Amino acid sequence: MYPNIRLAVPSAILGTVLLVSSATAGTLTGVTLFDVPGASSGSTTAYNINNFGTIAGTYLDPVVGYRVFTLSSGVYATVDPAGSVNGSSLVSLNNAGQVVGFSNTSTPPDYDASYLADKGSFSATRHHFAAGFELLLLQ
Amino acid sequence: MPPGSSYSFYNDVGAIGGQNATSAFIAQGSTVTTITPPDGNNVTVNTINNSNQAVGGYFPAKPPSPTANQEGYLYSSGTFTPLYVPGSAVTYANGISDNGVVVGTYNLAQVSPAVGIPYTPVLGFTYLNGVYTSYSIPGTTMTELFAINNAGQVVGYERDLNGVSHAFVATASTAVPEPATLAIAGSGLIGLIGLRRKRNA
Repeated sequence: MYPNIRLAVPSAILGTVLLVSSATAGTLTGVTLFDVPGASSGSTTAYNINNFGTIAGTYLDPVVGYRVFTLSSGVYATVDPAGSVNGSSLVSLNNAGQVVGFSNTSTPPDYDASYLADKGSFSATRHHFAAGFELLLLQ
Repeated sequence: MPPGSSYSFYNDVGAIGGQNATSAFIAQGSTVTTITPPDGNNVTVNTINNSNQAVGGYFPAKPPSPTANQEGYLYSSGTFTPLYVPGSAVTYANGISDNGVVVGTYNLAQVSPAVGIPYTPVLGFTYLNGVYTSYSIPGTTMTELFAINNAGQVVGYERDLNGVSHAFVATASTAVPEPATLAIAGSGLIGLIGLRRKRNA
């Protein structure tokens, strides 16, 4: 195939370089831009999408602060627990549509609570921020 | 759990990805797997999938370029693979689907247009089996990709040329190595092996 090394070496190098050192230009199809209704301009960010197409993310509520939303089949839902006084953050979304995150519920030391949002119901546990986060487990 | 830990992700099979001051880990039941880069520090976990593959970021001891001080990584079955989009200043690995497609974001060097303020182009990428695919929504300066599902749907955040931002959902066409490229590399390697055997004969 290659009678001498002058052809084999450049071919091997070229192929290897093409494989590992370039980023192929890809295409995003069906791009749909969206913002949570009522959110501050430019604040809606989508962080997760599960295998059923449910999206989870955060947005800035002008009154409460950052909040967590889901978007499923065109329907928005704010999924952080009531009582958040300084906003909430999102950690993850699973294929069951459950969301876990953190919520600021009061002044220190009990100002950081992990929560589980499961289709409209919430459970939460409080933990001192200084002792390290502890996430509510999805069992 | 390692003391002082923060948890980044919890998957459908009961594993947690997280990090503390000294290391990153995947924890499932009583088993804790530490993720240690061979040549860096400050490793974090951003996401784990249902095969317990993890993606995240770290600071390499020897950056691939003087400005590329932060890279992403893929951790799979004990193997730590640095992720660095060629030519990027920073590479973030943000998500991974259950079928192993990594999604992330990378920054290029700052652009100073003739009209308007300078900006840093931010693009999205996918990574699968050694191949990077780059994505940018036309008319934007920023296309960040944060997550991908098994159908190739991606979500993220974009900013247009006027500085207006939105969340978005789209479908990514993830590239695979082209047959011609594989043929070039493969035939070259076969040729080298043949020469090696001939010399040894």
